[in-house]
Amino acid sequence: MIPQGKTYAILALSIFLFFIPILWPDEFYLNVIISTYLQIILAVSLNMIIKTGKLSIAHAAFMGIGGYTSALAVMRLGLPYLLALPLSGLMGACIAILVGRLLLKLQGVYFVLVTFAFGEVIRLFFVNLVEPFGGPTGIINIPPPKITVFPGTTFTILSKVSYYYLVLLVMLITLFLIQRIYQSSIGKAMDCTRETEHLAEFTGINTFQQKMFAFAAGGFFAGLAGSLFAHYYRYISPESFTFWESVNLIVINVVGGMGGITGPILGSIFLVPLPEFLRGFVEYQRVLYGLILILTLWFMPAGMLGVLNKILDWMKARKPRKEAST
Amino acid sequence: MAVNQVTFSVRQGEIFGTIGPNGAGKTTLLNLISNMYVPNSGKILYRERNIVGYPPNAIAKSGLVRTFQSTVSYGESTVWENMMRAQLGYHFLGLWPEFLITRAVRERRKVQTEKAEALLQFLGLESLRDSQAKALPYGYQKLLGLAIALAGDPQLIMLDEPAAGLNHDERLHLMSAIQKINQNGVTVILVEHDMKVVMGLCHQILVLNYGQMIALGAPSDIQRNEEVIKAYLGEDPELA
Repeated sequence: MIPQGKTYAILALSIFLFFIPILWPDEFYLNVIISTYLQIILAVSLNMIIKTGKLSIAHAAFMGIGGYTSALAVMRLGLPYLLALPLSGLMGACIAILVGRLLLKLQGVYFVLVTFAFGEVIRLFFVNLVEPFGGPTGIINIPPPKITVFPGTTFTILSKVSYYYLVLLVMLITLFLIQRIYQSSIGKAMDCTRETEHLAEFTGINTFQQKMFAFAAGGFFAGLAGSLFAHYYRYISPESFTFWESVNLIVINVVGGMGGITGPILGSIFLVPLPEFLRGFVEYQRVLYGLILILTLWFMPAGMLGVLNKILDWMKARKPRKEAST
Repeated sequence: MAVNQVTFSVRQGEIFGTIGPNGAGKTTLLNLISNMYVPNSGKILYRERNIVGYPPNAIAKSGLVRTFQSTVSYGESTVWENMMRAQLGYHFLGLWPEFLITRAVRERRKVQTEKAEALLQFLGLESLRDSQAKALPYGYQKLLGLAIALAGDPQLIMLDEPAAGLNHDERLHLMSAIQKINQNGVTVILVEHDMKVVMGLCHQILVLNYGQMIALGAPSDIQRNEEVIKAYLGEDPELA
């Protein structure tokens, strides 16, 4: 359980996030914040898969699956957005369960390689099927989400400010759910599976089921992020979820720190806005990410979270000494 | 072939020893029973049910728990955390109750806390509860491995060379612990190199050599068996 003080701090921070568009109604910054939130959903859901000891480089593919599902559900089937959003999550989870049955049996580097192949297969699948996925151009003119609260009152989420709230809400729910999983016995069993898999297995933990659950739940949240992505940018194409997007999600986890949800959140806040502020150097983004990754591994192997914890420990260690001297 | 044509049965409530020279296939035998490896042919009956092919976690949950020859624990965690983690796999109440942390889950945690406490006391580890597992002296790491196995409330416990690397006092401590576990109604299969431990504890002994079974019987019979002496005991001047 979270101690009381921390709960209030998180609550205060969440409320502060609700006021950002009012305090700071700048389109450019809101755009950066929205992409950061989307990346947080993706990075944290990938963190859950990493927590079971599996490094997937197909995570962005699930986002693509969610994006296409949502776009087609709204445009072809005429489903309301409030149904298309969970549907895209479920689609991500179903595909994760289908491929997970095979993939999750693979150990170590073989798993990494096959997830790479799977990500490419998904991308090529969408590239080659012009009907109904639009081939290499993807799907354009995706309508903005229309949300019917009561019959007759429909909000169209068109402005950046309203979209900010939609993404914020989904992100907070995602973070709450994943944090809750981490605190429960499920999360603890995931830690056991990652640290010493055979011991976990021989003490009654169904390690395969743990990995399956993390992979499916990860696919679900990535699917949600994909739906939000598609309706925000109003298009989805195979270029939106390449291998590099998956790699970026891993870099975010490594740079932020992989222990819990805080690491990938910090990593997203640091890495997503970075290229936005270096507009003239977009082509150097991968070089920059690579450089940051090397520097992180060299100087702070536990990521930003590790450094933060060290600073906190240092401050805690100083406090009693001060009290003793006065 | 690591183990071939081995047939034996373990009676409920006994301590069953398995001995043999290095490479005889003792650990392989345990790996087969705990389903770490799947045998090419043959059956493993546990409570009249063939358990070949079951996943190891299901075997552990059915009351057949093993330890490992090397020290195996969650190294970064404390002894106490290890004891709590060791119980995670058992009495899992399903995804929803676990996710919601229902009352039943909290009740179970309370029971598990008590059990962890009792087990640490039983093995004399309670003063080390806040030590990091990988920082423990070797003997205590082995005891922690035993405690982790006992956390699953086994009906049958398989110990893979529990005395290896222990000093004299630690060995005596371990032997009395195994005896106490057995007196509580737990059947024990013991794979061991140390003859004194095996001869002192076991009711029945299986001798393996090159993956073949060469003798099976009470300790006194085994000590007199000529083939065993030739294959194994002959090398040990104390017992020859």
